[in-house]
Amino acid sequence: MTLPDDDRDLRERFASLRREEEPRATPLDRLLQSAAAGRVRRRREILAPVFVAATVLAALALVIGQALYLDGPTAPREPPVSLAAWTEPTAFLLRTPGHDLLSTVPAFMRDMPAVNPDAPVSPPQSSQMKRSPSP
Amino acid sequence: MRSAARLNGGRIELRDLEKLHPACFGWALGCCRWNREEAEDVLQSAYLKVLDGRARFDGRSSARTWLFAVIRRTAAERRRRQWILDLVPARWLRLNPDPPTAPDSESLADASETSARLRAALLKLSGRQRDLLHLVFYQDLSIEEAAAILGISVGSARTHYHRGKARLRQILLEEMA
Repeated sequence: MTLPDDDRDLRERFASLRREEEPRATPLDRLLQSAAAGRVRRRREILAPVFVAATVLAALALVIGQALYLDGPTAPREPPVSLAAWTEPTAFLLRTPGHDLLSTVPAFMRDMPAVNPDAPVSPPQSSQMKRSPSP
Repeated sequence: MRSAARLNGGRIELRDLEKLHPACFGWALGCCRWNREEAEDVLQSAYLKVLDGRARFDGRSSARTWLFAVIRRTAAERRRRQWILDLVPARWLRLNPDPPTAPDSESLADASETSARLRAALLKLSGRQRDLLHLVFYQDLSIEEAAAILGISVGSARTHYHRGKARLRQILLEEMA
């Protein structure tokens, strides 16, 4: 790009700056020689705080862990519930009215005194009483 | 300027680095706000990236443009790392003292008054304006090449260039008056 003439003042100032700075540049050999040492120093500079912070955190975790699990009171444990004895807490919702009729086998005419004089006279069951009369 | 750097499997050879080194040093100084120690550190890291092959030259631009972009990126990485180390806990645990952020005394002592004034004025510009003016006037690159190094569009680079130039002139005039 061709710079316009009105930038001449700036160009001269920058050229003067460049003339001063470039001869004073650190030699490339020296830069590269100290690169390895610089790399180790930088790595140590970064890793040292990380290492110290990790050590402090680990020590803190150890102390807190000991305080919580080793020295603290042990909570009473409930006996384990047998799997066979377990019932669903919502099982009652599935019980319909008259479900006992469905879960027993009916014995027709066995308990009727008119048919069987030996049958004991017993009050009718609650579920039978609740049944509505047939039309 | 188109550099005659040779490509060796995407790598730049040491001989090419030697040729480009003075210009790279000037650019690194500009990226590090004329802090010589920081500039040397950035250059070291950038050269190691180039020589180790961690930064590969793909030949899409000139070797100088590419190398300048690597230096700029390395300087930005260093600034980010420094920012993390400057956080309070990290500062407590740090082994080395804080590096100076202003231009060091050695740089300023030898500088002529004109150059010192120009540096002081450049430091008052925004980072992008300073970088653009440095690349265009100090390194004699085109605005397009400067935009490629800074990773911005040419239009944006032109805007920063014109604004930066006007602001730099204004600062220099104010200081002279």
